[in-house]
Amino acid sequence: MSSLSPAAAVARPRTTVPRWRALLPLGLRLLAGALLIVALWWLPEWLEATVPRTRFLRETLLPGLLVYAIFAMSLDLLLGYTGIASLGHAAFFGLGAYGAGILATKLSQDFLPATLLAVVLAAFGALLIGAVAIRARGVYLLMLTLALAQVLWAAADKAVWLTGGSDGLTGVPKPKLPFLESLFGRSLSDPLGLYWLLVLCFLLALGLLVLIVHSGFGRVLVGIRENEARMRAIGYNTYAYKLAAFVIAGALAGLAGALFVFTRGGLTPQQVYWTTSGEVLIMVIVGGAGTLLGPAFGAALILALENLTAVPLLRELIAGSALPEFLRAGYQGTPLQATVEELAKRRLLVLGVVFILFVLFARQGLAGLFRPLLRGVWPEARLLLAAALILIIVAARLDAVWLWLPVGVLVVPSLAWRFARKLTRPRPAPDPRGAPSGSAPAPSNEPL
Amino acid sequence: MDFILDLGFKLLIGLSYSMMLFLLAMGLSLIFGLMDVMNLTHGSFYMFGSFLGLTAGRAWGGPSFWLAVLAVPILLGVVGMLLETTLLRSVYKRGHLDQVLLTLGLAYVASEAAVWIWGGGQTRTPEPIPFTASVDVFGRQFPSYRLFLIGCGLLIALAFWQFEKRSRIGAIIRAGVTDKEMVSGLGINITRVFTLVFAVGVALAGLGGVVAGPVLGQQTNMDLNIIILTLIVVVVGGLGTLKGAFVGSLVVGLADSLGQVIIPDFSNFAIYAVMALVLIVRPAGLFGRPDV
Repeated sequence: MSSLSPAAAVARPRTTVPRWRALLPLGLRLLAGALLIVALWWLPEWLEATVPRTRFLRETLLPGLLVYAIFAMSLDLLLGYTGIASLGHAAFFGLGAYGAGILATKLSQDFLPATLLAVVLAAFGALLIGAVAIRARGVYLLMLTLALAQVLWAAADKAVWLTGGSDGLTGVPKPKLPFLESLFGRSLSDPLGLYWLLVLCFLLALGLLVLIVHSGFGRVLVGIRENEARMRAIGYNTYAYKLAAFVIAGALAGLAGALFVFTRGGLTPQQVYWTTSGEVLIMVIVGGAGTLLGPAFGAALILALENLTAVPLLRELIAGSALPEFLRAGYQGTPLQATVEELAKRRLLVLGVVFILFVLFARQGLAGLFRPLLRGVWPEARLLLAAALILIIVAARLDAVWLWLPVGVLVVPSLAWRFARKLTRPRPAPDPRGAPSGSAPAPSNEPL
Repeated sequence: MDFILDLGFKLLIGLSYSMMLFLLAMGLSLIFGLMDVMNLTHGSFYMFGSFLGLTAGRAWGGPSFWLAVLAVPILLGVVGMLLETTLLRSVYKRGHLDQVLLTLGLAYVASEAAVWIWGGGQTRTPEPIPFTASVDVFGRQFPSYRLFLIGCGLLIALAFWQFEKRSRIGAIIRAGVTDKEMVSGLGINITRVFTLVFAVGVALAGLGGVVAGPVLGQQTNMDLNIIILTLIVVVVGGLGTLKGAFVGSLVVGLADSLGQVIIPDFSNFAIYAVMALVLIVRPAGLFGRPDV
């Protein structure tokens, strides 16, 4: 989970910690990554076991979640890292989706050329729109990107011969990628095979963003976000950097678009309309702008809130889940169920209240919620926490009850002890340089 | 000749549309320009105004509608003042993203509340007496209520223009848009001025909702659609100036109605094209200052 806060690891003074502890951040990242992969690997089968009757969840919602995670992470490179608020990101998503979809329908079903075309088209669109839009700033930029994206929406809506107009593009075939299909042992027209392809693309996009954010280029982007005038004064061509960020973000959105059209088998101009841009913007803010994985979780939360609040689905989820019997009895047929189902019908109310609660109680979105949980604990304890989570998932996966034993015996008491010590000790004064407190002992050998 | 008459007719329709937009844009522009606050609840006030006008207009026809025209802005102004002092004020320093999330959340809740109170579906406020009939303009039937809207909008624009130009509070607002630190450094309680601007702004949005009801009616998502339109107006005109809001409303309203005559296929797209053109040529709107 520490990959939610890349800055924390970088800001830690490395010279003063023992060598084995200096490796901890890396170990934590690897563990968090492993945890993510295990969870992604396990989710479809868990859904199949929990809600066998609802194919919607594992064949539409889950792939959609990964697609929107890539989409939201790409926007976060602009919004969170560069400080460019764009309300036209759906244009690049749409360029990618239409590009890949039309190529797959009319020419070849190969995955790679279609996706390559999608990425190149989206990057080119981002180059054109970005070159014009980033001259404005603030709300003007927001509205200019909106206007330019609406141009593309109007084109998609009117060019019936190419895009199918307002009926949308339909009947896009499932992609083919022989190399991966033999590796997976599954065809990409099998939902699970396609899902694994999506997981692969998600991890690739995440890896690319990790590299970008931690590179010198990424540091310059953060510098532009914090103070563009100063970066320009130092001598950086901030326009070029912002445009480059715009193009990279657009290209990734194009990738997400291509994956979208392959999972859904089509798309409508609605996906290019500004409401889609607004939705993904909200995903980034809810997840935590300026964090790597935050927007992915934001996308998951928003999509879950929008889709799981259908009453029949809710009932099936509760009935099929592995909840203890007494909990289920305390829910089914009680006023609680009636209240929950009444709320589920008022989707906007739920979304609205969640947004308000986030602003009031969770600065920096979901990522901000995780951070105090993790920051209060020593790095070793975080390692334990991650190990415990992996053990729990593997235990549940293998139905191996004995694996719960080490979790219970080792991890929980030691975590509790660490927390207790942390709470009883006085908090160190906040570091004026903004280094996270409590993550490492303060350096004591600074030159006098 | 027929085309010219058609154009003139559409021009009048566009003008009345502009005046409705102006009632919303004036408040939003000042709220944005003065405190740099992204307020997406503005459309919700418009929506509540529209629904309250509908209820009043259906009650006993004309007279109760005019009662709503007077009472709704006051009511919504008070609600706005409460909202500003309790919730919104806490996010002024936290940047646009948090403001967008908070006000969008509030707008969603308000939208759900409106559906709960008034039910969904499309409705339209009945035209109040004495503006139920049509008059003869350019040889065509023109709804007299739209003429009332044009007059009403021009009157309010004139009143507020004079107020901003001559009154002490108007001077404070103009100074605050330029440099609010300096204004509060001079000993002026800018927070209180802002509460006033916010209350008046949303009251006008509510009034806009009431008077637009007989023309635009009520539908689902009306609050979000109108807030995007209003943002377009505000951005075209430039933040923080009455003049900008007025000219922006004219540009957007006329672009919309003339677009239906000149490029009927792309009519719902004309305003976006106009906004893109304006912002490409002037990245801070027609009357905005580039550095604000």
